[in-house]
Amino acid sequence: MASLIWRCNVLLKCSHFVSIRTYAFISDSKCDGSNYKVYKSTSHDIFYNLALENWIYHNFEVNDNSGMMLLWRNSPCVVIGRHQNPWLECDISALQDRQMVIARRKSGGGAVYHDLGNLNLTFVTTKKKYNRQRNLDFIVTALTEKWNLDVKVSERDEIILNNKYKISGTASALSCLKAYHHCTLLFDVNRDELENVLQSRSREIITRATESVRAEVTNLCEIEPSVTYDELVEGITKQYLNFYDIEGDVKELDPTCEQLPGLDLFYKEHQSWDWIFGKTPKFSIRRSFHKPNSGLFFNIDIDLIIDKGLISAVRLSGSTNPELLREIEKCTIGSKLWPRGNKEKQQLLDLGNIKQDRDFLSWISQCFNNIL
Amino acid sequence: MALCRLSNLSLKLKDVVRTCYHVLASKPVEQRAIFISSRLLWAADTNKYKKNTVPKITVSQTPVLILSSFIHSTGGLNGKIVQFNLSDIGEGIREVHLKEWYVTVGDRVSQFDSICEVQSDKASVTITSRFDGIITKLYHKVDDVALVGKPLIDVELADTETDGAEEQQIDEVDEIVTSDTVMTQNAKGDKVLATPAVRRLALENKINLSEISGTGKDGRILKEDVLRFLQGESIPETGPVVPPPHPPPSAFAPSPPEIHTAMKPKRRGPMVDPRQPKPASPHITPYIPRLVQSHLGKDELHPVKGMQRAMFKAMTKALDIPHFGYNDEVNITSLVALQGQMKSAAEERGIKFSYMPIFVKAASLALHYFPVINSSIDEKGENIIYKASHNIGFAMDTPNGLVVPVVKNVQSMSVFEVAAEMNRLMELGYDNKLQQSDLSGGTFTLSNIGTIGGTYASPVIFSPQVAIGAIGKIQKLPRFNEKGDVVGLHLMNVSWSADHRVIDGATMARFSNLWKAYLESPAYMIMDLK
Repeated sequence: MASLIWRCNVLLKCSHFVSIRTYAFISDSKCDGSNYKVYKSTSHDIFYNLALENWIYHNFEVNDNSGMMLLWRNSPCVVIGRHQNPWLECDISALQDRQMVIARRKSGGGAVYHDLGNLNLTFVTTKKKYNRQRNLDFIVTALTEKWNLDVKVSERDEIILNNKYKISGTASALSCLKAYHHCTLLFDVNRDELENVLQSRSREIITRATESVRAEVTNLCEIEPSVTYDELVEGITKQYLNFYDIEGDVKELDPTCEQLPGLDLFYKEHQSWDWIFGKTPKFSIRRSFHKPNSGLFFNIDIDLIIDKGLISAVRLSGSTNPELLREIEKCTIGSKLWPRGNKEKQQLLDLGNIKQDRDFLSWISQCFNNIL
Repeated sequence: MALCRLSNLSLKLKDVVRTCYHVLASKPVEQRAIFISSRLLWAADTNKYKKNTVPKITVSQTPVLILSSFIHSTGGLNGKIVQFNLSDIGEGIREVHLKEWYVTVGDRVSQFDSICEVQSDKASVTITSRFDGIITKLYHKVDDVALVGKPLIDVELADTETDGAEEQQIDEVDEIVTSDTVMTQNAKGDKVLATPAVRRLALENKINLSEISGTGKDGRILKEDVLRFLQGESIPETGPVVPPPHPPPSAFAPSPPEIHTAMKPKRRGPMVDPRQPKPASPHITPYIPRLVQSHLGKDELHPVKGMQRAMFKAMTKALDIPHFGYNDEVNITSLVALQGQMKSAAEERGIKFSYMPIFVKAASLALHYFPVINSSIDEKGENIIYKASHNIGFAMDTPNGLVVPVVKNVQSMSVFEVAAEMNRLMELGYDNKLQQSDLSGGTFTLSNIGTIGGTYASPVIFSPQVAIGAIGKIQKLPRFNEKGDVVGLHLMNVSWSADHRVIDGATMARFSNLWKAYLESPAYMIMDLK
């Protein structure tokens, strides 16, 4: 009987992915069955936009004669790849100082800085029709035709301007039937902020998470000042629709109020700690801390293994009572590794039961707080 | 053809089959069959199904054909293990990095269930199962490279078509139910988890499954467990289902041979050793450094960490201090003459004799006259803080490296009390049990480098302290006395370093002379003792 119920859950789960659901806004297709649409998100909230992208990916009607291009941009934030370590990719405390958010997308690849000067394009197709080169060609053609810019696509599927500067990065996600490719296009981002936030303070991390490949970037508007968001949207849409020989226009979508069933679940997932930090591939970090105004060699080495964002193993060593260290270790196992500066982080260590001088414990607590 | 569709999922299999059976009851016996597929449960008459599919089970002469893993562990089914290969991802991708497993060995999966997440060329790819069954093997660990076309997992199928045509007669419907469930009763009444294939293996080999401890999920007995049992191997106690976790990248590896081994004697002897007092012995056992293994011809990279890192930081900070040095020779012949008496006095009180407490106490006495040497500078360099107490640190070599425990309030302690406190701190130091409070709060430092060797040194000041002394070894050397005769004297060298921003040379020299006088004429020291 248990197996029957279990099976039932699986059936429901499968249907979620393979059933052909058609929602009003993507239903009208041409008489030959082809269906290509261009949408523009009106939200600047990274979590809503990622949720929208994901929702479309899961709900868009799949066939080899259909596709969708979604255009979106976000308020300042950092977006890391599916298998990256946020502590290694950006300066989380700098983000918090600026009240910027960090988001983890579903696709692979590296970390990128987003603001309103960065256009994101998502191309949803069947897995069979997944072709990053073709998608990037829409952009390259638009930029060449409209502004006569010197752009080409590199081997890494990046768009390179004037043979030197990267202006677009690519990533994608594939499942058994569907796929999406998305890319950025820097036209007027705040490059100082980009530099500031995409610096890690945690060089001691040992991990096999995907590392970003650094590249010299520039903005399209620095080479061609007439490039604007609207012009880009118009130019690339034209190329996209021309390619599929379709007449149409960009339609606006508001993920925050559109009746898209289930989108809120994607939204919740995307902005949850468990997704952003908890999905970090297992890593370890080792750091030494020296207590100021103490004997010269009074210091503590903290070794941590962090799995799913939680401290899964901890080893302290230092010139103090080992039993005390073992006790502190016990208290910290399973704690969340908060981003630096988070209010809740102050409560990271519940060392209340340990009999030891408060000053010392609060220093240890500080060390844990500052380890990343 | 579908006569009975599975509508009520809470139905027991028994009921389902029974319902089907009743539907078929009107048919002649030889035309009855029940199909069970993964999605639907059908009852149909035998005319409708293909001749080449041979029913495995019959219920009251009605064949029940299990088409898929609806009842994956139905008795009589023999799970076949298939390899699930990593399918072509496209774009000429040959290899991917395995990033995350969504399943572990022993998990049941069905078609479209996510198996794992792989990444290649900035594409995150969700691999979904093409089979229904139980996972028996994962071929890769997280972060391994998986090749397209090569096996990813093994799945034990529950598919009749893969099995030889073998009929099993079951007369009562209820018997199906008993064998359907993966749990069965053994002789003792304990529940044993195992798949039918494993049960059969056990049956064929006349093994009682209850004697085997399973290593699968929830203690499920896996085929490997049975095979191991047959080979007489011991079964790992409560073995985990998950593949061995990736070894943490060196974080918890036992500490590599300490880098500073070369400069640190491995014998437990500290600068002052309470266990093996070495009073004034001119002969110092040569320390033979342990050979540090290195790969000849290959540079090695060691991160600066631990003690070394602390040393690195403190010493870098010390670079801000303009050091000046002042060295002198101290004739401690009179003190050495008292050694016998002092030693027995100390031992009577259970303290091992050493000169170091005397040096420390003498320093404290001298500090009374030169309080600036017992001062510190505040962070901004605006104020000199004259410290209220003489907290004198002494460097000691421990198995865990050099530490500087602090004897607090030396100004109000007797020599004996200083010695007792130093003994205590050294005992703790050996056992790596020094508390943070034992190591902090120093206002002045003496380092007895002489126990290792050497005469003069250039000690480096610990910020925010302003002075430090290093004491060399005691040697018997010839010197001229007042009459011009050569005499043998017990001599010891002292090297002071002071922060020249705060202390001038004359102050340091006077301090040194006073300290020296206490040691050269113990009578002076007795007079000044508080």
